[in-house]
Amino acid sequence: MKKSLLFMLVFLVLVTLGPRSWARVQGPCVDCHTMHNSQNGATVVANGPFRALTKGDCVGCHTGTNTGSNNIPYVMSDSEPNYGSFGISGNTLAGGNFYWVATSGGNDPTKGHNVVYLASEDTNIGTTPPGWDNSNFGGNGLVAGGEASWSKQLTCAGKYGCHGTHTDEDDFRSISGAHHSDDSNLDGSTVGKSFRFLYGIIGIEDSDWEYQPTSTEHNQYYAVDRIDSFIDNPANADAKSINYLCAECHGHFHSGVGDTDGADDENSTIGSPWIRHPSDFDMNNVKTKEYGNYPGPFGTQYTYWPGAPVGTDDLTAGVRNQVLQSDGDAIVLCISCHRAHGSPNADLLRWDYAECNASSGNAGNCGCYACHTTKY
Amino acid sequence: MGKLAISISVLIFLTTVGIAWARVSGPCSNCHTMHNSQNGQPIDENGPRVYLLDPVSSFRDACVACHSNEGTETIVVQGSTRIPIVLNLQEPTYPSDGSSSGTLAGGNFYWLYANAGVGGENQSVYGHNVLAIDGVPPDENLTQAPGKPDVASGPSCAGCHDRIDRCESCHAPAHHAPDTGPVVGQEGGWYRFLNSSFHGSENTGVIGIEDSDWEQTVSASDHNEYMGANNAYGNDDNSMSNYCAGCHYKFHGIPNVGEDNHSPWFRHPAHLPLPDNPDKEYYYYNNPGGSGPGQYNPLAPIARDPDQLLSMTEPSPIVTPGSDQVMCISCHRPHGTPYPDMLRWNYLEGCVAGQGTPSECGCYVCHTTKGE
Repeated sequence: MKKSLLFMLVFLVLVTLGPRSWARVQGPCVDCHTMHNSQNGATVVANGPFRALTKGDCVGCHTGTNTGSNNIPYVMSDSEPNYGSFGISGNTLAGGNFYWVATSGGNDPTKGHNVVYLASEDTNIGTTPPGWDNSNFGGNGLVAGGEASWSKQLTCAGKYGCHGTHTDEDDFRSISGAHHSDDSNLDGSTVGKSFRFLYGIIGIEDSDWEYQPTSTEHNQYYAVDRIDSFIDNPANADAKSINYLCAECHGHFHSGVGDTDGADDENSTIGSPWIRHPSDFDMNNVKTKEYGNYPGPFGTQYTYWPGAPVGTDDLTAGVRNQVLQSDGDAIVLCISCHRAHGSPNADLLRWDYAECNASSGNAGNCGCYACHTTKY
Repeated sequence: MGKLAISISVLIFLTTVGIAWARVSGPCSNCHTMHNSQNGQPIDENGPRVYLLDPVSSFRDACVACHSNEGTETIVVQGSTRIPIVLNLQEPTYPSDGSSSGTLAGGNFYWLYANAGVGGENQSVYGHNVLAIDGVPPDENLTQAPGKPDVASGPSCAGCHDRIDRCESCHAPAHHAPDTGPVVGQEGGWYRFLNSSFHGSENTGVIGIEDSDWEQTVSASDHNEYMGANNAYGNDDNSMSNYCAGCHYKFHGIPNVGEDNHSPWFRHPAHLPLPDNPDKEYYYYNNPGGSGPGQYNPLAPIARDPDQLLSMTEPSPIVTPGSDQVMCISCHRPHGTPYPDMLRWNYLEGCVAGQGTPSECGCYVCHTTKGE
């Protein structure tokens, strides 16, 4: 009896303290739903009712100010969020915030993804993503149905979106049921069992969506080393990796055959083979170079720095607070540099690239130097 | 106040001596583009390029595109980044007069590229035919590097030793290496990145002191300093001359210069010191008719004894016979000049025995009794 009690106590402590995922919705139903959009004879939410009896659409529910204890992750704010220098010390989350791209906020198309509900069509780019590859990267379903040029603006989820499946154009339908799915095992088999409802993608979800993350409390992204796996062939890329998600829309920046496609020039016999900044590249391959000093000026060598995160090909080891310890634990990601939703910086970068000055002797607020540790 | 004085002193020091600034500084975006994409359009129509470069001109090769200029300026300022130009599409000033169009130390590919050298010779004599430069043809006269070492005969050698396919045939780029010097060696990415990109070693790279403006402004005390050789056989020793020997090996060494390494020479010597003998004309380097050696003349530079160079802290105007050496680039500029054989002066028309001064014929800087 005593042994059973002790076991239960230990189990409860582990569950409470561990970095377990909390993406499965918790809390009072009333926080998100209204049965009839009617209370005391008045509507509960304007412009309602909404499908799934929710109190709003994607944006409506996910607009607010993060405090670290909120049950709903807020990716949009009515007022400018506190981003800090790298988005890890204020009140924005891992994906960043749409405030700066939103029409009601900064209204700057360079500072976020122009999701249709928040912002008008990107005045610089239009609707078709830069680097769009409409034939490859369909492992989780081809985005935009493989249109040569996108006929519609980006949405949160669905055929033209990032979250959910890419078969339904409707955001709600594409993520239907996901919020209440059992997400204890993220294997990518369903939207609910996918990392952040990014269909097919796997990873370990930080419980507070990286509100003020640390080296021990952060998302753990899944990625693969291109050297070991696909090199230049998109068909061999791992559709479960976070980089693959980005490549679904920006495939030409990722991999491809030829001297001008993808990230590397496979015919290069000299110097750097890179023609675009690599992702899916394990820095263990170049550990003897400056990259072995990650995170450079931003922490003790080998310590995971959420300001410029790296991925791993082995999620069984859990959340890493040390990297460059073994092959596959320090893989460069698209989101090593970018915030998917948006940031205060051009190209939705995690930091202000204009502040990156080579050989200045001061790393300043340039996250590039987390990997390029000898360049400042 | 003390700190202010020190700061001013440091600034004066840095601006007056030719200390190296070759390590790239300035915003990363001056030179690089991560995806060659901005606002849905390619930044560089000829990109993306290796090293993620975003060059200043439209040549296809990234090195050429960054280090070329349609105008005459030989140092292009991109934001706070200074780029030395080795190919101008309009004629630069030769030799440099210190102006913004002054040809830099390594010369310029202009005369090769534009076929605009002196004397009406064929195009290829005015520089090294770097085939990475769009429009530069294979050498009309050469099917391999003259003096090529026999060991460089395999098919994988041809890209450097039979022809020059790319800039990396001579340079191993290391723009971000800490080359604050004053003496730049392996840690700094080697002097002017001179090391083999294909089989470089700690012995093949060149050591030297890099002038801050690549000798656009140049004088007896404002210039590069070159590492002399420690052997006369063309063997790798971090010297400037023996780096040239990597491709022109048979112009060096005992079988080619005379068994005892002295006159009569079979070929013009390199990598040997000026004789420390007042009875010899060479003793009066750059001072014809004088009573002793003259000052360093950047038109016909000398290399320093290896032990001396490694202890130098700045360029020196002093030339010391018995120590300072003649080298290949005492006479040649590797990129090119207005003169055949990429010589530093007009050997065919400017060097007439009994006539002329060192400024007209650089040969007379050492051959001090041969001019007027």
